[in-house]
Amino acid sequence: MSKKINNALKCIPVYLWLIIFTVVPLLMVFFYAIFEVTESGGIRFSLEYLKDAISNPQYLDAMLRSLEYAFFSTLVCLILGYPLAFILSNMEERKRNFVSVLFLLPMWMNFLIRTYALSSLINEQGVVTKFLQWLGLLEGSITGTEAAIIIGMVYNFLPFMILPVYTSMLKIDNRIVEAARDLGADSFTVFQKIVLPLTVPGIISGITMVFVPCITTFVIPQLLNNKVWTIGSLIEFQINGNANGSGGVNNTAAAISFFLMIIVFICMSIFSKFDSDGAENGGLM
Amino acid sequence: MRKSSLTTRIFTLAAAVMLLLSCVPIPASAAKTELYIFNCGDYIAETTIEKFEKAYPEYEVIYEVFDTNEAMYQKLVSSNIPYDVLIPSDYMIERLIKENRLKEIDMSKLENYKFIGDAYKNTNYDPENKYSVPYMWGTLGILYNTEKVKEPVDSWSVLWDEKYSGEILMLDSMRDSMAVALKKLGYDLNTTNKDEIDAAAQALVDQKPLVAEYGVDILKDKMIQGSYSFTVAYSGDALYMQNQNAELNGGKSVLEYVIPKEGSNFWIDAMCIPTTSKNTEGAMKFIDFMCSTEIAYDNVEYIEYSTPHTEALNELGEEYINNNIYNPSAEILSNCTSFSYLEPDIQEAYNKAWESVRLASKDGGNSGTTWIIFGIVGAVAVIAVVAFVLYKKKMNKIKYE
Repeated sequence: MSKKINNALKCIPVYLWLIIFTVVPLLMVFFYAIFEVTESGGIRFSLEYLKDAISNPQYLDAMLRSLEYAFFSTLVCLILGYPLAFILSNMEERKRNFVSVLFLLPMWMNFLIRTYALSSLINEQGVVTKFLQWLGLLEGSITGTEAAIIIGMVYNFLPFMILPVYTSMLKIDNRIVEAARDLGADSFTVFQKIVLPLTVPGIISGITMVFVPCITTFVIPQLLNNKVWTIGSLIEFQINGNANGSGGVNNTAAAISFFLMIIVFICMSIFSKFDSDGAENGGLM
Repeated sequence: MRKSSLTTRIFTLAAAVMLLLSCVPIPASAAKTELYIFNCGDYIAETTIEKFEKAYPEYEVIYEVFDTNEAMYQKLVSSNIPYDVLIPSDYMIERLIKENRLKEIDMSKLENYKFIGDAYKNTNYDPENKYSVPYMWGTLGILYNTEKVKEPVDSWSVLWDEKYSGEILMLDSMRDSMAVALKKLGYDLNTTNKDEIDAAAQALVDQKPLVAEYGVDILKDKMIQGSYSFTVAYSGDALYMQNQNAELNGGKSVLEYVIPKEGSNFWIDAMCIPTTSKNTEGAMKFIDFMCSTEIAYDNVEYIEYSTPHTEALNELGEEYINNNIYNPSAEILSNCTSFSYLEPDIQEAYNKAWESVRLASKDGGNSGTTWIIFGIVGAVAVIAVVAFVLYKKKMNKIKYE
């Protein structure tokens, strides 16, 4: 009994953290999505903002566009990251530690700076652009194309895909693989029946950690292709660019964010359907 | 002050933090009166405050910075800091005057007010010069690359010319880009007519397929490198780009700046005293000090925007006086208007218009995209093959063990 109370007490910091940094902000977003502050300082219920967020065709367009970018970026990250994680996990331990540090190295730098650096490589004066132009594969610059956004996202978020997959691969007990081989499974069957299923939790957390930030990032599109706004840029404009300066609260931004969260939630619950067994194996980092 | 891209904001924040930190350890001596100055980040010469404190040892300056006028407004209204001097932009001054947040300034008590040029007085935000003393100013115009553009440029409509498709850079800033479209259509850039606002938005949507990029700071390098034909630019930035381009081209810049004949925006940032001030006497002394020739020169040399101070301009010399970017003729200036404060519902109409422009998607079928995708797929294929080979090797090893 006393052990139970003791355990409950130990959890208090976690609950406090969750309440202060997750529950309260979410409730505030929801609150401002449906309530507005009137000029006299009162609060008024209004579904107008939510209706606007859902029914404005341009907002929907922007949301679809962001989902599309995020989807392709996640796909590329997965296709690149999975084999890389595999190669990594098969290295000797010393070598493996060294290489995984190399993968982490860019993350020690602020991602804004990394994106600036990337942009100077692929803009019209950039080395990569010049090289592709010299090969005759490219006219103009890479920045300003939709591919630039995908490249930027993949570049920034790839480690978030590699690490969880890599961790889950390290956890695979080699004896299981050996047993399968002893029983006559060929390498494809081993991959299909053992390696892949055991790394699913890693894949799921990788997808989550890449897909979600990709949807809302506004800095990467703004630096690499600032022609058409993504949903992140729209929300950023609502909050920052809005020259009104009235109260510091933006109902439209809250409504769009709220709607976006619902969409992300739906996407995530679809993903996690694949992850029915053993979420405890999904080491994040 | 007009630009507020992410980088500038970050730098401003860093500067603000540093300034705040540097303020902390100074023990407040009882003999000194505190003077609260609230200015845009990186918008004063580094020595000015020091010089002021030396000239007027009875004051201790508490210097704070903001990054946008809107943020300044928020803080002014919501905090209890007794700011004594503010340096906001024209439209914000208009708003502050309307809301009775500014004290009248007795200009006859400012010894150095006589140095402020007449062109910067009797403005539409402060028609009787009762509330503000001009600090810096500039214009909005087109900067173009004379190597790429052979025809004379004198109108905003050149930015809608299809032969320059993909060669045009636009500002990612609502009021400025809307002003470009409104002026191109012959409307007032402060229009409150919603049809005109919509027409301007439509014009910008039509222009969008021709635009290579929207941005603020990011555009500068692209123009300096000579990669594009046109950009919309503030005069201060235009001058900077011209100088940088000249350096790159060995002395002679290929970039030209023009204020189109339809007229443009002419902005002024000015010093004023908010009603929160508890030390109006000190504020007056500070403003007067800022208008002295030496200090005005220091500041303009550091900030490199156009100065309303006639003596400081003379000290800058012929090169600046005759520069049509730095010091355009009175005739051109008379064709320019400053932004005025928009009532919230009009502001909302502008916001919506700008949103519709920036969200409008176009099908820019770039042939480069396809190749890049092929490249990515190729790289993926290579990595997949390598992984497969390694996998096989490992499996074989297990088999024979």
